[in-house]
Amino acid sequence: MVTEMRNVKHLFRLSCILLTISAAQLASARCNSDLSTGVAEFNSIQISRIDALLRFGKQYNVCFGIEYVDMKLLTEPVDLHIRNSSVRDAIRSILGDERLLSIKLSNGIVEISGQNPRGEKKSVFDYVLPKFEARRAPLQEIVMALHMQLIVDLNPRVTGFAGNYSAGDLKDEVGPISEQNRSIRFLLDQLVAQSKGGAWIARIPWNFSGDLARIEQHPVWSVVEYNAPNAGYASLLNTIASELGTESSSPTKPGES
Amino acid sequence: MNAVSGPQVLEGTWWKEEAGVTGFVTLSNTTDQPLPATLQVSDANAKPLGSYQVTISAHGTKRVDLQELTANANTVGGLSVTYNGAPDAVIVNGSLEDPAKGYSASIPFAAPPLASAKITTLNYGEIGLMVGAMDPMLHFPASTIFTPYSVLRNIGTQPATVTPVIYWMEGGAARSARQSAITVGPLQAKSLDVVSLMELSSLKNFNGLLNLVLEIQAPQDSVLLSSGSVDQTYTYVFEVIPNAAKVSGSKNLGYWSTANGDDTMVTMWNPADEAQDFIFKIFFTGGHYLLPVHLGPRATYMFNLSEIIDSQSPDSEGNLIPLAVHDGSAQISGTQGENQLILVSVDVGTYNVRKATCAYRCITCNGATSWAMSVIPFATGIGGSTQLTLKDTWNTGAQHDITKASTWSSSATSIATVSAGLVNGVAVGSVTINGEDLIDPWYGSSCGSPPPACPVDQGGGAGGAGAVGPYRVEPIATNLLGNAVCPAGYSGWSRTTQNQLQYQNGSGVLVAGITMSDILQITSTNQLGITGTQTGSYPTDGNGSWPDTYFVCSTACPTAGESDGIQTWTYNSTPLPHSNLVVYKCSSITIDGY
Repeated sequence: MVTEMRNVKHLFRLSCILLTISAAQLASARCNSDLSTGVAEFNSIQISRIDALLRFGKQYNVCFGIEYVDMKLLTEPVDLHIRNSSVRDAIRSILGDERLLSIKLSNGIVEISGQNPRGEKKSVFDYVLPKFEARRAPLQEIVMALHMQLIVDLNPRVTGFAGNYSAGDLKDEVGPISEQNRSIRFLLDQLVAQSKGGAWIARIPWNFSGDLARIEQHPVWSVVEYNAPNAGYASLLNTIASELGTESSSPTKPGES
Repeated sequence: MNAVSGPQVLEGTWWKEEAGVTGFVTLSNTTDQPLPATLQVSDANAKPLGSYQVTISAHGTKRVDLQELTANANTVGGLSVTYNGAPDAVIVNGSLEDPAKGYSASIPFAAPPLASAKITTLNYGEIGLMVGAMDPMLHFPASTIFTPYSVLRNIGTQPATVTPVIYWMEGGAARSARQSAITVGPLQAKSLDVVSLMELSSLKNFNGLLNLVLEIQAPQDSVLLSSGSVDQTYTYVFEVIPNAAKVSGSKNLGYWSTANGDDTMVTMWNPADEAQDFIFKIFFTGGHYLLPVHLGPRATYMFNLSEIIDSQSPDSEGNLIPLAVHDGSAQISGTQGENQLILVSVDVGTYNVRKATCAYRCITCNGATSWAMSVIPFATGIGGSTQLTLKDTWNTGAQHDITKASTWSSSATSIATVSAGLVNGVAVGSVTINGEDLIDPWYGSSCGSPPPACPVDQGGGAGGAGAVGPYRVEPIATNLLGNAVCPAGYSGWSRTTQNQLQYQNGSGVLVAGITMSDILQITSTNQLGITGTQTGSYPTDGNGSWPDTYFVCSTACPTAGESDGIQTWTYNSTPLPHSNLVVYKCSSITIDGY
């Protein structure tokens, strides 16, 4: 009889633990915007710094807007062992100190950008859309809609789009959205902040300010969902690395110079 | 390789062991229609020496004598046969000969590799090259001295780097000498000076057998090889078929003979850094005989079948080969059975000293031809478990339980986990359990010069019987469909499918982590006015699949209209043979007819 009672206690404890885990999962559905949050431990072995950053984001519920990427950050494997740190310091450690990067909280996510000025040129992420509206839908579908809206705004002569994209987590819905005069950066931040957790990543080098042909033919950003199926990041990061070019003109509407 | 009906190319190589060598090529038409073909002869640097236009009658054979070889200072060069038709419409053979001396050697032919073939490094072993005077037990005339030869031609479009390494036995131990790498340009032919390589290896006065291993870095199947040994009178030519040193299961060594003056010489080389034990199983009418073979690291062992028969020594099961037995077949395997993985290069040649003939034998790799998992579908209670088993069936008919050797995965570990085939229920739901033995060798043939690397590459995963190479992408389920989210003024359709990378037989390539990428080319059917296309790249899961959303947004929608696109895929940057037709409409998207 004593044994049976103990078993009942174990069951009760197990139920409690399950409830605790459920609560934690609910909390992880939103992006943590407190960069002073403590980081007990984070380890990664032989993956790139951006890959590590995404894994860190998933582990500590930190969403990112990664506007600065380079080949080394995307592909060079490193070992990282971080203990007793803050989210901000951990991010700095993960990104390394070889380059000057700006790490700031903006629109509910951590934006990572270069500190070296672009001069007078503006990035495609600075481009302001007069209007962007979308019904509630899976995150990746809205992200594609944003891309199409940008192309249409730059080139109103486009009559149709077709293709395919990574579906991601179909249950990770965002919106509805109705924004006016917002930058692409702001809109991407908003989409990621509304998601179950993730990051947007530039698919262009920091010194690229955009040209219409490039934007029309290739995505200039990707959104990673931390809970999406097939959530390995290396494949995407390698693709981005292979795409990095040397374009550096500004996004312009046809007819503008 | 030539894959479909259309322009076909077969490349070959010729060489002259001595000034009197000439040769011929035979072209056999296997079709019901006359077939024009062209044979071009070139020198070592692909400079044309001659060209022949022939029309081969239906089911006929044309012989072309290579007159260019008669009065030519070149000692090595190339041959190229081109025709229009199916890959097997013309069978090409050729021979080099000097009837005055009794010399003859086969001309190797092979299709060039696909332009997309990936650069690999593969070691080809030219095993058992005879050097100097041979052991008297081989019954050659006392004064017979052998000299090895090795000829290669790059039939690909990229340079090949070839590093020769010589292995030989000395005092019971294996020795080796690595030589400088050479580069062979596209369509170049080279004759390796094996004698000079031996001198560089301090083997000037060597007598016996040596192995010449060529480490070839090039797109796979782009180097044609020919090797062997020839005596000083050019009467005895012992051809050795270069074989890729590759891990395999057991190998069938084909026919052996000791009848009418024949004998069959078997040479085995262990390319591994550690010792290996093998069972050489000799089959004959009425029984079999087991010959255990222990090979130290990089060691070579040679024996004649006549020795084994003459010894009349019982094997571990008490079997003898009756003296009246003169032919049969043989198999080499690990000591644990036919499916034990082994690494061994083998050369088998049946020769006849009196007739001065030698015939080499094709080797086949035994391997799996099908796989089956027990208990499908199955149900397990929460907290309960079910043991699944995965078995393969080999070309030999034998079945093996590969449950423990397999990699197991669950499509939803929140519903059920799996370890070593033991499925544990976690929560209510349906789940797909995958089991695959990634190193299970496939059945495959190993003939050619060099023969295709044996066993056949899996391309990953336990795809299915006879499946070779990923072939296409097909949707296997639709997860979501409906109106697409489009910019203002546009409308359209969206369909999310679960796509899968498949072999030609429709079975999935069950490998996670493959990067799939696609390109969409809109055809002239474009009523929806598609001017912008978006495609992406996707990692596969353990089922070889990924969720993919197809979409169309057009100013022409919702009015009826259609735009068609040709979708071509690559897996890990390698193009798939099959393209999909994607039909986009305002309220439907069809992928390859699905």
